[in-house]
Amino acid sequence: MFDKTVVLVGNPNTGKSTIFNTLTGRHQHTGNWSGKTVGNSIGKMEYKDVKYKVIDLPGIYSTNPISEDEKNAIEYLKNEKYDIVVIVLDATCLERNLILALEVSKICPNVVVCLNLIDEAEKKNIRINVEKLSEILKLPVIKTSARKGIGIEKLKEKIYENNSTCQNIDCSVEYIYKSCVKDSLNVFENRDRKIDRLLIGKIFAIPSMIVVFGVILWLTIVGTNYPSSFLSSIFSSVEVFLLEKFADSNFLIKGILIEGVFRTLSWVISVMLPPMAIFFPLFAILEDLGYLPRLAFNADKLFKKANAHSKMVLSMCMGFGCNAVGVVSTRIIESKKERLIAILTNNFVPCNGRFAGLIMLASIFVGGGILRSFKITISVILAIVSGVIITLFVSFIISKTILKGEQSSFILEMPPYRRPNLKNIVERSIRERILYVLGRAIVVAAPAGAIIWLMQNCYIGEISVINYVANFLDPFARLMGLDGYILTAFILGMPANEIVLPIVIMCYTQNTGLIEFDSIYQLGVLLKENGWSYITAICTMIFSLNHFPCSTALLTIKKETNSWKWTFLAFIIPTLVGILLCIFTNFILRLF
Amino acid sequence: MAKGKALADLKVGSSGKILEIKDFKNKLRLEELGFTPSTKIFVLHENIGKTVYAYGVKGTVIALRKDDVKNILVEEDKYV
Ligand SMILES: Nc1nc2c(ncn2[C@@H]2O[C@H](COP(=O)(O)OP(=O)(O)OP(=O)(O)O)[C@@H](O)[C@H]2O)c(=O)[nH]1
Ligand SMILES: [Mg+2]
Repeated sequence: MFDKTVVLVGNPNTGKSTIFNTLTGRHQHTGNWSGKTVGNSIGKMEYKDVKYKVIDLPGIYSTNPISEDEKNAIEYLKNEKYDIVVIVLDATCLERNLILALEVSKICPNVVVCLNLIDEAEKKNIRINVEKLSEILKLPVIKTSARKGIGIEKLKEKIYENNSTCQNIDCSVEYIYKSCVKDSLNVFENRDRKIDRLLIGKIFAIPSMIVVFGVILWLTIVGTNYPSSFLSSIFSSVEVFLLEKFADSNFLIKGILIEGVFRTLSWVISVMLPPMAIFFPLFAILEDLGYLPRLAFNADKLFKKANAHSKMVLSMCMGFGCNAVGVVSTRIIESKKERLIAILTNNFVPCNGRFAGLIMLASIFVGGGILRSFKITISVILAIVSGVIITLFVSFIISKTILKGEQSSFILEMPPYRRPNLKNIVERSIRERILYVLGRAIVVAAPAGAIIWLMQNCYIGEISVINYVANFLDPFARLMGLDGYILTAFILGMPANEIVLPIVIMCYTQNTGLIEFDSIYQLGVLLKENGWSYITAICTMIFSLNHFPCSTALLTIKKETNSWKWTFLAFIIPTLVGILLCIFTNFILRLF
Repeated sequence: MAKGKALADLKVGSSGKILEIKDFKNKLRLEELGFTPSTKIFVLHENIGKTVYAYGVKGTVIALRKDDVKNILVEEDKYV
């Protein structure tokens, strides 16, 4: 099927995945930090008469791996068959990058050197003599700026005509660097250092962290209102229309399809989608700026105290998007023990779907006034902070009980600040949030809607199945400050967290009848009519933050750890924490 | 040769030249990251709690734990 195989290697964060995307037209994730890609991915490229298979590998510093993602890349380099290697170098720090280039060109024939990020190098006044470099390395060298697509055609051409052999270059890296590169960098006083003094300096690090997250959350909360009301008013008028039109039809259409499937879909899309679709790109901007590794830098002391690895901050950040992705990204953590801690605790970070639920609940139950959106923001920040505290606490306990061992060291590259690639972020958000959530709504929420309807309309004796289940769970749920329906929804929502709140709403609308929903306020009325107090809201938020991972995340944990034992622990630890915290909170709050 | 100072003892804002890295588990990785003898090194930032420092080496910025940089010996630059 393919004529030739091209493999992309290089230090982390040099733009391999960006180049991969421009070569193949794929949409591999890119991000401004080391360790974004942790597994191999395959794409295809056609140039002239040749069909190429292109492989994107995780970044490596050398051919001696210390973490799982590097192992992955190096095993591929050493054991698989391929025809051409493209070494991607970061032109802004060539001296370091050359170390790997020399190592790889020793073991691999047919190497093309790709000098990426040339636009940044020029901005930093780093001048590179490409002809000379090519002469010393005895390899073709191409300048590229992958983000703008500059030099990509030339790169393809060189891949096409390539036929070099293994090169054993005797020169030292220092010599090569000195003969080819002229730079005039002021290490202490450049733009990045000035920004860093604000973002990671001792005085401003914590305030700036609060401001950064505060602004993102605030924008999400304020931005959610309008599209949410707009979507739901459309959906409810469509529902009214459909119900009139099919008033006399059988239960299959009127019941399962309209009252079950359609109604659930409309709740998922109108209530859950807007916050998900707004938060996701905002967070991607932070990632592209290069802020995430700085969070790990800031938080090192806390994580060190908790016997966890501070690179866990990065997998936690990925967990904000999706916990399954967060679990996979723990591959960058070198030690097995610390990686397991990161996997077991990843679920304490709310994924996009749960996060949207937290925002909705906070918006409903936090009081009014002009400062309302600020109060909501603060309560959501508190929820996240409590998730982090629980993560640290649980990590500490795990490291003292089931995962004893030495603490490993910490090596983390701090990327330069980069301007976010807004076009890329918008495209990715549309593809991966809006289309993805719509897709999941059809795959998961639609069947869930049908099941809920059936549970509401099939009876065991006098009571419907859903009430039967909810009544059964109710005493225990009450103890936790919830009710039977909420707990049922969490269990039924196992395949996807974004359907939990819609299921709860479905259960309540069944009892009170259809509500004319066109603002978050009415959703609050519905919940309050069904017995919700602020304690219910707080306990639901707590349980949403602390309960079993969704089925996708659990399967991923099984795959990554290759063990049922760890998968089971990843299930039971957050669930127990959630149950205990809910019971405790409920008990305390009822005293007042 | 001037007697080396542990990199951990350099203050933020100072710079120096690496003399040697003592044998410890991360020696190889640090060398691969460009921490090789005679390389210029800049102490750029410290975090809250002073557990990690950000160092400028060969055009990159790398954060290391204080516990690890005890093993790196440097000759500190003197400014007149
Ligand atoms: N200015 C500029 N930025 C670039 C260029 N190429 C890539 N980037 C940015 O550099 C960052 C890293 O790019 P990636 O493609 O994710 O790097 P990678 O080598 O795949 O990184 P790992 O998967 O972590 O090894 C992203 O923020 C890109 O947008 C370029 O030519 N110019
Ligand atoms: Mg990548």
